[in-house]
Amino acid sequence: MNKILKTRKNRKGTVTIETAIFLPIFFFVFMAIFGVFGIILARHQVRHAFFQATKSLAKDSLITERVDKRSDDGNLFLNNFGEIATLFIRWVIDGDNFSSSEKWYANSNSTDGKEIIKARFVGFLTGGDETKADTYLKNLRVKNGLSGVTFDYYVENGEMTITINYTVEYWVKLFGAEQIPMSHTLKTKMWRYDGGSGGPPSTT
Amino acid sequence: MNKQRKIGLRKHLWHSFLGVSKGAVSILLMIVTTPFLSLTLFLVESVRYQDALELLFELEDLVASSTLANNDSFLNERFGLLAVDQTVDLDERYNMYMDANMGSFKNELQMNSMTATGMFPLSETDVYEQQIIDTCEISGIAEVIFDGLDLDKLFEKLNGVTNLDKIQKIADTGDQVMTVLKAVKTVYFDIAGNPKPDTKDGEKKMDSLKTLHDNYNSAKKEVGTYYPNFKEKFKAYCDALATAKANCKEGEDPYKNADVVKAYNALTKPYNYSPKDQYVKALKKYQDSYKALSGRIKDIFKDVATLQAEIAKVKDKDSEGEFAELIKKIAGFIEAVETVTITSDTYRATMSGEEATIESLIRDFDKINNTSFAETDWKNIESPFDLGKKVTGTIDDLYTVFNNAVTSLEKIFDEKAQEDAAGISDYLQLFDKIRNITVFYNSKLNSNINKSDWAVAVGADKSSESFMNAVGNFTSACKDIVDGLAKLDFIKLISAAYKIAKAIWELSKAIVFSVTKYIDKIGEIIDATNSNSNKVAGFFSYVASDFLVTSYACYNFSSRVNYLGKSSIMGSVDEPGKTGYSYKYEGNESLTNSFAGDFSAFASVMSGTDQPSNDKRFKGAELEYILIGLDNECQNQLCSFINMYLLRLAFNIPSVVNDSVIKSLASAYPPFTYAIYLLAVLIEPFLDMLLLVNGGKVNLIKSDIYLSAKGILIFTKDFINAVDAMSSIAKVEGMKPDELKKGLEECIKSEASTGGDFKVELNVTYTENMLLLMLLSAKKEDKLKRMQNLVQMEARVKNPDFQLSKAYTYIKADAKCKLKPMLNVGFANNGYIDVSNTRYLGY
Repeated sequence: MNKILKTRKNRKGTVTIETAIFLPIFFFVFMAIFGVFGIILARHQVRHAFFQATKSLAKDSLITERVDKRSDDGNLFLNNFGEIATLFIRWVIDGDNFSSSEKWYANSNSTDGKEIIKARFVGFLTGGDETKADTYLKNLRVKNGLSGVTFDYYVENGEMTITINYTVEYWVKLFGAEQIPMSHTLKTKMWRYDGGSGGPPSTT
Repeated sequence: MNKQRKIGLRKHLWHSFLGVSKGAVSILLMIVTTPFLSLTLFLVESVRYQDALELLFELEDLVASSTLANNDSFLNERFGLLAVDQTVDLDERYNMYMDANMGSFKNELQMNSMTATGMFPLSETDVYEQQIIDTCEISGIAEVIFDGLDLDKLFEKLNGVTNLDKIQKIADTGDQVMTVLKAVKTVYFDIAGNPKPDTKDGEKKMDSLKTLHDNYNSAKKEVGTYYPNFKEKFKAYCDALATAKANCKEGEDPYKNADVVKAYNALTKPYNYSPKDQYVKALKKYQDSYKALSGRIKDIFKDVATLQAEIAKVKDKDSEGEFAELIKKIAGFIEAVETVTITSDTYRATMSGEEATIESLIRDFDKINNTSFAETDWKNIESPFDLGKKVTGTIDDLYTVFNNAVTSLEKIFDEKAQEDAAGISDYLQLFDKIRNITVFYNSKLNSNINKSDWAVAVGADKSSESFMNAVGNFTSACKDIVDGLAKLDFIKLISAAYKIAKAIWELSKAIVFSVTKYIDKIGEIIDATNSNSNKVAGFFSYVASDFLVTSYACYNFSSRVNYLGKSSIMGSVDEPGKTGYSYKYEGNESLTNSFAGDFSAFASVMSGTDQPSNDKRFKGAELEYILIGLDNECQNQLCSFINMYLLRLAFNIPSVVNDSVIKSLASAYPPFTYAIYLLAVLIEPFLDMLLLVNGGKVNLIKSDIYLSAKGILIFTKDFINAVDAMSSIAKVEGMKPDELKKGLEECIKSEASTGGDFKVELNVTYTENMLLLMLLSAKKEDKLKRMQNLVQMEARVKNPDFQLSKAYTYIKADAKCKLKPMLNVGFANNGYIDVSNTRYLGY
């Protein structure tokens, strides 16, 4: 009994112990908040590129349907010099990363269409360099980088709905809870196009 | 207490304190770290806020872009314009897209309100102009260049067009010549009379000098006839009165003496038929005829003096003698008149004396009554035998001289009349036929629009009226000359000579007035091109946006020439045009070309008809509306035709007046020199118009003209081709190509050869002429407003509720939302942060 009483009276090391308990908690909270920053940043960057890509994709039909008209055997007919200038800008300046002459929007959720959407996304993310985009996304802690970003789309009556799916990883592993799936869906009108008959992708 | 005890107490207290405050370090750490954490959380929330704000911006941008993507497809395909579709409310559509896109983000933002309003509709002229410039900044210029308009050559040629010297000289000298001819006409009518006056010209019916002279002589003879009987009866009365006065008693009235009364009655009865009455009547008649004759002679002297003065003025102005031949002929007439030896003052004195004598005679004899007659009055009746004796010689001499002058004048014109007439009559006949060709407008394009249906109010241009009046007077005068020459009707001829001189003057003035606006503008363009080392750049910098607007109008709106068929803008009833649209008219009436209206149609067409103004759109003559701006399609076509005719006239003047054939013909027929020039100046552009309205091409500024051996075949070939190209629907009333060709050949008096090497350069179509015409005459603001009206007019065919004032080109989007907090810590507004933004986006 006296030993216990003696022990209770001995307070040496209490500060150290309190500090040893409290400081880690503090740092943990602080780093957790720091991680949230990372997630917000990743989401912001991806979302911004997604928005810009969506707007750009919506205008593909404007040039393809209006200017870059092809006959059944692939011949091009232009009405005036303005159309020539428009196509020159598309082919030479914009390139594949910011414009496409394919009618990808005519078939919902086609593989080619998804490739075009991804290319556009990369164009607005890193200027079109896929390697750079992959690295950039990985640095943002997007799971699997560029290959971890997937797109779904459908076009119905000229209205395009496009969804991006990706996963952001927390900077520390939290027993599986560090994977945060993200998904954004946007709807926009295709310029000068009222076609498309695909509906939302089936969930079965 | 000593020092050591104090230190010990302090240590004791400190240790006591440490011993008592359990967890103080933790508390201390908490106090220190809490602000850091709070700050960090605050930073996180602010990052979230910025992220949400960016999200809102991007959402608004995307949604606005989607709303703008629903543009009016008709406006875009038909006109290349961009405006939001009007079939769905703008705000409704915007909200629909916003709701669809908010789904993914509702965890971050809670939308309170979002509204979208349209701005900068196409009814604002600045907005419309900017869209046009954006549309055709490249294509507009390219179209013109690719159409082969060699601008260097154009500027070179334009330099020569600005010279209106010849026509100006006609205008300057012409009014004087006109005055001379008017004076000649006056003198001529004074002598020869004017039995068929042109009341429109203020002429009055006049008896000839011969008639007046004959009337005078017959009146004099009549006086002589009644005089003996009067003298006898009057002498008998005077004798009876003298006897009665000698024999009357005191208190007796000699005038009541039976013999006196009997004699008086014999003199003065029956009333109106008595010797006195008949004699006095004859005297009065003599007086009237004398006054008429002497008055006429006075007028002749006065008018001859005027004529001499006017001739002197013309000789001063026309020293080179283009009117010399004409003046020579008239001078001969003047010389004949000047052979009168008696001066007008002497004449006046003699004639006035005679007038006074007659006047007093009549006065005296009128006063005869049986109450107070003096014997001395008897003596007055002797003098009638001298009546006219003093003046008859004078009058007869004058009459002879004047008559001889007129005869010599008539002879002068008779001698060469046929020959001179031949020179002008071919031109006159051709022009007479041409002015009956009905091509001025297509009567099938006859819509009449209600003013209230227009989107924008704008005025109209009816400035060609004075020119048309002058042409009408000129052609009418030409016709009178031809008639007068054909029938050798000198009365008609002399009237027509004056009329044609007047008409030439009016027409040359009207030409100068009408084309000056084009010449001035061309002068400005030439100055602008010459001030720049690169002429093309100089040209475009001067015309700038006006050129783009005008070229847009010409290549996007139909005209009377290109409104039909697959290759046209508008298409036809049966097949769509370039834009893929085709319009059907009420009752599915098929449109054709049915040309109507000639030079005389101006007044009747412009005065309007009883046609109701309830048409909803023009049937094809839209470009003409842009140029002129009237609500009636036929009137627009008519005025456009005339304006283009004037432009072609302006461009053709140098080549026509300098053409060797025309020059030699004109100088061969001196009195009609200027008439021939003017006729050629009038005919040549009309030939151009015949080609242009039938879809053909003409040289913009000619080196060779159609009124030439080289030009005839080329013209007739082109004309036939043009008419054939529209043969299924074109009709040119009044003249077939063969007749036209024959008429042209007669004008130049030679067999049509192979056509030689007619220079073809800067060939332009009707559309290109319209482009130049609009650049040179119509104001840019007026053109834009008229085009806006046409856009609304056409759009309402597809959508009757279309309003140009609702064709928005910009969206203003207002959004207000709340940002959900990460942690609700109970601040005001439940911790929500209000975010709002206004976004503007346009095409």
